[in-house]
This record gives sequence, structure tokens and C-alpha cells, in this order.
Amino acid sequence: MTNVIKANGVSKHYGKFVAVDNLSFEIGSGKIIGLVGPNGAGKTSLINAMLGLTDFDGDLKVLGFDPKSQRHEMMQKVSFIADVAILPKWIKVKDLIDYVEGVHPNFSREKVNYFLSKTKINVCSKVKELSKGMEAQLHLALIMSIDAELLVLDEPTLGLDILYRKEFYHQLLTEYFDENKTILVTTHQIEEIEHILTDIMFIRDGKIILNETMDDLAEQYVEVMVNKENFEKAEALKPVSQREIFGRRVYLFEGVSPAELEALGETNTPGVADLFVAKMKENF
Amino acid sequence: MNAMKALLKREFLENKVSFLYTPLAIAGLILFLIIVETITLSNSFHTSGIQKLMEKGDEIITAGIQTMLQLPIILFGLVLFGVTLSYTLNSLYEDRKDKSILFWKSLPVSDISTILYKVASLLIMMPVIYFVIASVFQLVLLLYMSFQAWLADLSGFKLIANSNFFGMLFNNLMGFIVANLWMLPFWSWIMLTSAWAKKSVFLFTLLPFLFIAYVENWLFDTSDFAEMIGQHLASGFGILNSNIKHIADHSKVHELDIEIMTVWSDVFGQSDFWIGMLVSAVFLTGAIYTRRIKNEL
Repeated sequence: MTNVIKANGVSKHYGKFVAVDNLSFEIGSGKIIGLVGPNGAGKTSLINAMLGLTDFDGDLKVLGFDPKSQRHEMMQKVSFIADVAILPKWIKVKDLIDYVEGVHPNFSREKVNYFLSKTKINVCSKVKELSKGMEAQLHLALIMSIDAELLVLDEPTLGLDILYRKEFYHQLLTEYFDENKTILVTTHQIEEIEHILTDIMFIRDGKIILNETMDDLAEQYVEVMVNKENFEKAEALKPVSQREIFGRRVYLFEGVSPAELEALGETNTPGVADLFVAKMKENF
Repeated sequence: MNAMKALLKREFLENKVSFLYTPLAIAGLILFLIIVETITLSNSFHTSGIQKLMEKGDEIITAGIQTMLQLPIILFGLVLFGVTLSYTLNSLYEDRKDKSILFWKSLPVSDISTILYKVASLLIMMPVIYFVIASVFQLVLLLYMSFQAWLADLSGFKLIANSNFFGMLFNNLMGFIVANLWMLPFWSWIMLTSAWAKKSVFLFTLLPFLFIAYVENWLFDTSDFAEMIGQHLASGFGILNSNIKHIADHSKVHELDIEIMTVWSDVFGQSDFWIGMLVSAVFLTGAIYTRRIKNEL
């Protein structure tokens, strides 16, 4: 497994505000990584640094390129969708396709035609005539038609309805992703994509507070539904969090042996959203 | 090659109204006025002017025909400057405003290419389109004048032969291109402002000029900076209308000895021009750097 992203002491300051705080991590190829954090946690600043859209301190390599000085070469192998509905409104769909084909050596017109044939998008329409959902479909079709090694998605489905959101990630997984590609995605609707992730990173106040594969996550974190009589025993094992459900409590444990927990009640692998909430409340 | 075509096509499509429809509208409007004038005024009125002209010597005929052909082109030149101004004001601002910069930057096009193609658009593509439309317009006007001559039993051929039409066209083409090149320090400054201003690009473009002029006046009680800027702008208009000075000089009717009336070919020998190119390079470098780090308003 080769490193797609390698960060060593990466920081980003806005005046006195520290958006990204001395981060070091590595991301290998063939993964789908969810980057999750509350608003203002530093997700977009970190992504912008990776994409060469902003200056930063520290050492960062994306596919071996320095995003600051080798951005042009890097962008031949990196694609990104940085927001929803950011395509130029004045352009016609067919002219947009011509443009991408003209400037991108790894773009396939056959692929974009195939992806668009599955939508209701008319190539003679201007982008401003498309609905927000259709614009997202068009953007995804263009991006999926580029043979990139790294795809970065920053809130690519924000404000879209559930049908578009589901279709967006389904298509990405079934028609784009393979072992040679890496996808890094941030979204607030993490529960909708957790089933496609191979890895997860939680970021808070510019620091990474969790960086695990989804398999390790299931081994490390366990939720137990505990009856009243076992509350004390459960709390003695120092749960990460707890919540009440119909007189019972759901405790979340980190690194406790399954045998010990099964004695307390019914065990479960926690959802990423629950884990996120628990980790965000930690040390607050 | 494909990338070059794609980048120029993008500029054209995004600015189709300024680049194409505006000069077409000017040509259409002037032709419309000529047609209205033809219908409403008597035939003898049209022909008498040409008749009087054709009785003069060849030099006067040439100057007269060229002046008639050239006067409407002043309007094309003025609009070209106006449209270039609006183009540069929006060039690196609009896509930050509507966030489409994040799409453009997701493709392997460097910030240097983005800005240099915009400069190429204003230095070459826009002047050439204006020139082509203005030339077709001039050709129609020339044919119309020959027709009027023919109506007055004069030789339309003589009128065309005396027009030195292709020489005029060449001067117009070079006048348009060199005038925008001469104005490049201003256009580059506006592009720099357009790359960093959060709003009111026009205001931020003007403020430093007003500030420097004010400070100079306050400290030294002089207005050299304002005069230099004014002179440079005025010369830009002069170069744009190179043909006017050309016609006057060659006809020897009047020596047009006004400092700002410059023929485009004289520009390259002037130190002001080369200093302007250096200043433009500094501003454009600033615009490229700003474009790299500023993706939002």
C-alpha cells in the first residue's frame, strides 16, 4: 500500500486562530476515508491545504507532490468537489464537457456521456437551468469521468434530498471506486455513508482525535444496553459515554474486552454518528 | 493545443455579450441610422457631398473617404475600452463570488495559465473580434458610399480605389491591439484588484490613484502623478484612433500636432510604453499570487 497523503506537522493559522494544529497522519491508497468534525473543526482548512488552495506550515505530500509548489502536476491526478452547486451558471452543459475534455488529459468523453445518459440532464441546457440535484449529478458525472488517483469530496451533497444523496454515493461506490483510487469525504450526514467507508478520522479544534479503520473501530468500540441492576458495574469500566433509553442505559466502551461487556447486557457495534457525539463530548 | 482552445473558448463564451453582441449591436445601430437617414433625406442631399468631394484632388478624396469610413470606428474603439474595463473588473472576481472558482481550480489549469489567457483575451481576442466586425461594417459603408457615387453619375470604382481600404483596416487592427497593450498597466492593476477585493472592485481600483494624487498634492503642491495617468489614458485613446492621425498626416490637409495623437507604430520607441510593460508584469505577478491563495470573497 502506497501513501497517497502524508502529513507531518501540518498547521494552518488565521491570525491567532489555529484551524489545523500540527497534524501528522498518512493515508494509503484504495481507501474511502470519512473526515468528520463539527463546524469550525478545521476539516475544510485541512482539505484546502491538501488541494493547494491555501498556504500552510509543515510538510504535506499528496501523491508525492507538494500541493503548494507542484499543484498543477498534482491536479492531473487529484479531483475534488468542494461544495454543492458551484459549477459556472452561464455555461452550457456541452461546453462545460468540451472545456474539461480540453484541459484534462485523463478525462473520458465516453464515460461522461454514459453517466449523463442515466440522468435527465439535457446537454444543450445552461447550468443555471438545472435543479440543484441535477447540477450535483452533472458535477459528479464530470468528476467520475476523470481517471484520478485521489478524489476529495467536501460536503458534496449538502442541501440535496435523500434520493440524490443515496444515488450520489451508490454511483461513486459502484461505478468509480476501485483499489487504485482513494476517496476522502467530509459530510455532516455521516450515518448515510458509514457503510461505504474503510477508514474514519475525527477532527476537533484542528486536531485528529480518532483515526481508525472501520474494522478496528468495531473491535475497539462496543455499545452495551444495560439494565438498572448493572449500572454500577458498567460505570466501573469507565464508559466513554452513556445515554438513557426507556429506563435502561446504553454505555459506549473503548478497549474493553467483549467477554466483560457481554456479561452486562446486549452488545452492539456503535454507529459512527453515536461515536462521533461521544468523542466530541469527551474532555469538554 | 486543446487546452489553449478550451481556455480561449471559455473566455469567449463567458463574455459573449461584451465580446460579440456589443460590437454587433453598435454596427447594427449605425447601419440602422444610415438606412433611416437614406429613407428620410432626399437623394440629392446624399450625392451632393460625394459629388463635391470627387471633384477634388486624389489626396483630398482619399482623406475624405477615409474620414467618413473612420469616424464610426471611434465609437467601436471607445466601446472596446469600456468593455475591456468591465471584463477586467469581473475577470478574477465573479468566479469567487459565485464559488465556481472551486470548480475551475479542480482542473489541472495553473493560475498562471488562467491569468495569461485572460490577458491574451483582452490583448488579442477582443480587439480582433471588434476589428472584424468594424471592418465588415466599414466595407458595407464603403459599398454604400460607392452606390451613392454611382447614383450621382460618378465612378464608384474611383471612390473605392482611393479609399486605401486595406491600409486602413491594418491600421485599425494594430491600433486596437496596441492600444490595449498600451493600457495594460491599467488592465493589470484592475485584474490584481479583481483577484483580492471582497467587494466594490471598481472603488478599490480607483482609491489608490486618488490617494496618491491627493498625497502628492498635499506634500508637494504638484499634480505630476495625476497628469501622468491622464496623459497615459489620453494616449491610449490616441493609439486606438491611429488612423485619424494617419489620415491627417498623409493628406497634408492639416498637421495634427497634438501630443496624444500617436500612431500605433510609434509606441514601441517610447520609454513610457516599456515602463508600462514592466509595471504590468509586476501587477500580473501579484494577481497570479493572489489568485493562488484567495478562493473566496
